[in-house]
Amino acid sequence: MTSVVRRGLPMKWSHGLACGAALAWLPGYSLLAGVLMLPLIVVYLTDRSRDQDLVRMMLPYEFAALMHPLHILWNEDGSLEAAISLLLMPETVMIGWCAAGAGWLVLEMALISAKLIRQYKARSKKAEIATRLKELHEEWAEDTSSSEIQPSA
Amino acid sequence: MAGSDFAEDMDEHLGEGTDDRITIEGRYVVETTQPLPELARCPAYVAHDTLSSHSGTIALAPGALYPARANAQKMARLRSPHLLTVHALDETTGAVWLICDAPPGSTLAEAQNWSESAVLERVIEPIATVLHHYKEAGFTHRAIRPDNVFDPGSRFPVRLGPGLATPPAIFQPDRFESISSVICAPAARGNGTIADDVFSLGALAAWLLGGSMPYSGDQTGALTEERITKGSFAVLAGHLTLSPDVMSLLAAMLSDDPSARPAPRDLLNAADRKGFVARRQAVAAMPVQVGPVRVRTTRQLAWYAARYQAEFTDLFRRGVLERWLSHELGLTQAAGRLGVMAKDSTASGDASLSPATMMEIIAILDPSLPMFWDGLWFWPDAIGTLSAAVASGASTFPVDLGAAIVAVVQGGRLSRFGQLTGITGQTTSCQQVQLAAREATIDAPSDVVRLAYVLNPFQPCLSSRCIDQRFSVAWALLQWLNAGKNVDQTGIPGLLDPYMTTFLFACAHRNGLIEYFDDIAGKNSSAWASDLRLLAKLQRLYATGPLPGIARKLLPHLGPALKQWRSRTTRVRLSEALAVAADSGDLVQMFDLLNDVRAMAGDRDAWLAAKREAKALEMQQSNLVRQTAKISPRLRNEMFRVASAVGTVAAIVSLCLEVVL
Repeated sequence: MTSVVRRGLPMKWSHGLACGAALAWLPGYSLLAGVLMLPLIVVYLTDRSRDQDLVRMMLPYEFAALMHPLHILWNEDGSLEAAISLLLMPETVMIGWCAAGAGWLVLEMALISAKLIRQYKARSKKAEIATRLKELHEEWAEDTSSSEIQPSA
Repeated sequence: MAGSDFAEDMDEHLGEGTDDRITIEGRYVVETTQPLPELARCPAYVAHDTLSSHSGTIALAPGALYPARANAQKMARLRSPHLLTVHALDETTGAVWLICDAPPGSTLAEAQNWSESAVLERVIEPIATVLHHYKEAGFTHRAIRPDNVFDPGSRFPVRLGPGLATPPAIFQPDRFESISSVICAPAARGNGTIADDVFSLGALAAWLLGGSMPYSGDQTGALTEERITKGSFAVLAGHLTLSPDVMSLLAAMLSDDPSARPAPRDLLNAADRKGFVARRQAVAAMPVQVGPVRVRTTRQLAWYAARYQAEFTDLFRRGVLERWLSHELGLTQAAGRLGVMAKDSTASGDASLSPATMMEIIAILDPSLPMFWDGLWFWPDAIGTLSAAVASGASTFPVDLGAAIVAVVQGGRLSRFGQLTGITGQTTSCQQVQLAAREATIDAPSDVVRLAYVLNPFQPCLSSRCIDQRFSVAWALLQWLNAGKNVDQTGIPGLLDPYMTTFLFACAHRNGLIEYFDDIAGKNSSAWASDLRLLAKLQRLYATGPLPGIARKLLPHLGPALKQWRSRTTRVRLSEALAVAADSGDLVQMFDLLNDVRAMAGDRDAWLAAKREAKALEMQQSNLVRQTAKISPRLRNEMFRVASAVGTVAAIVSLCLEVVL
């Protein structure tokens, strides 16, 4: 445990340093990415699971959403103003933030559909079992009828 | 009898049964709608001999409750000029028919005013000739009484009616029976000995000489005590005024000691009036008091012992009887045996003597008396007739007859009596009854009726449903059942009632088709199913051919037997197959279908497999409900991976779009 903490601390420090360096040298890019990745950061801070699966899953969506604004910013030479003006466009921020939500949505949808598929499967299996049980019951149940044998016609 | 032939025979006989005429031995034609007065208390019908128009014949039809005697077939072969000849005894119509000479005149019951010489010449001598033939052949007649002796009139000798058409001595009035027979109920009298016939002849002579007084009003058992005390001769003929020769002849014939009676051969020339000396029984000078009576002879003692058992037991245990027997009568051997028994019974500590001990004491006191068991006097060879009486329920007996017979045939009591009795032939009879009881497996009072059939091959089926038909052979009953004339009786769950079942068992046993009664008895199944088992076996054993009437009657009731098959499909298939088999009258196939052991084992295996499968399915079902309720972490990880993959694809697409656009 201690080794993880010890190893974790310098990494966090290195993250901080990287963030600092990025802010210093690439303020436009950093601002744009930072703002658009805000939901991801929130999730990173709030998600208690060890592997941060949710963050890792959301990352490609965020990346997809970032692609276009970063491209525009690249064309504007990565200036801070351009980044701010991009950020002031509500659709940029909305798309960026919704991308994280989309990731979550896809996961939930996948889970729900998996659940639905399983339920459907189970139901059909259940019906199959019930039919078979009924068959068995009819075949092997004790005969409670009046039990008179009718002569052949 | 081959299959189809049998069916044709059946139809033929059925036709005959419904017809008014029956042909016997291809010669005698019986008119079943023209009854005649009974002959020797046996129903009689008009019969013609188609080969001889001169000889008058009648047909006798012994009833189910009073069947022909067990050895009737052999007895019928006996010929004597003074006996109504039995020309034929036939069972081919399914019931016993006897063709017999028509009586040559009226019975002696209607006769009057017989002189001594007429009685000697026309009654005693001819009947003694008949009895001599009977004795030579080893039979007894046991039906010598006025209504069975016929007077041709004029000076011709009388002719004796048949003695084989009814059970021995069953219709004999008390006054024509010897003391050893009269103390038994009519059904318990048995074949007796030729000495008993001599007694009956003597009694008949005494009755004729005494004026042929009507005896129909005689009370049963009214004279028994007097006869025991004074002797039969004194009671039946003592009051007659006759010549000394005839008196001595009657005294000898009416002696209560069977060995003192003359043999039939001695009577062949009775008219010569040779002297007979009646041997007197030893009489004690000092009587012994048993209860309220003073007893002077061993016969009296034996009879009163049965009557006053408590008082007798007391005397017996105190050794009074032992001393009386040895001092007064000089019977030291009997006294010694009783002494030993008295010591044993005192040692056992019981208040009263057991039936077995009582039986032994009486047999020792008077070896000529019948067997005494628990209040019932009977001869062992009458057990068959007694069993039929149990079945008919007509006779009233002082004891539970069924239970008494079971007790007697078990535990070697009969053999013991056989050793003690002084009557020739009873030892063999005891052995025969004992053997029959073993073969018929008599364990309970309800089994006793089996003995009636086993001991008498002419005993018709005693079932109340077909008692009028007098069926004495199995195929006739089968044919009757097949014709659907059987009516359902309330309280009897099945096609056959116990009497029919036992009758069919007995017939199969007699024909050597089964060895023991239990061989074809059904166990643990419904009445209808066990009827099917029995009838199918009989169909196979007798090769009767199709019996569709019986099969159709059985079919609707085989449902419960089908229930032992667990598979519904099999049940349906079997019921269809049963219906087809029933239509073709194949009881054997019906039985085989219901009792196919291998198929039943298969059915059971399949049932067990189905039970296992149902259990597995039910478990699977409950697992399914539990599984669908939650999502496993593995699935969740899977979904994460899927969502990540979708995201990655989106990112790549986005990158590509940016590059392209």
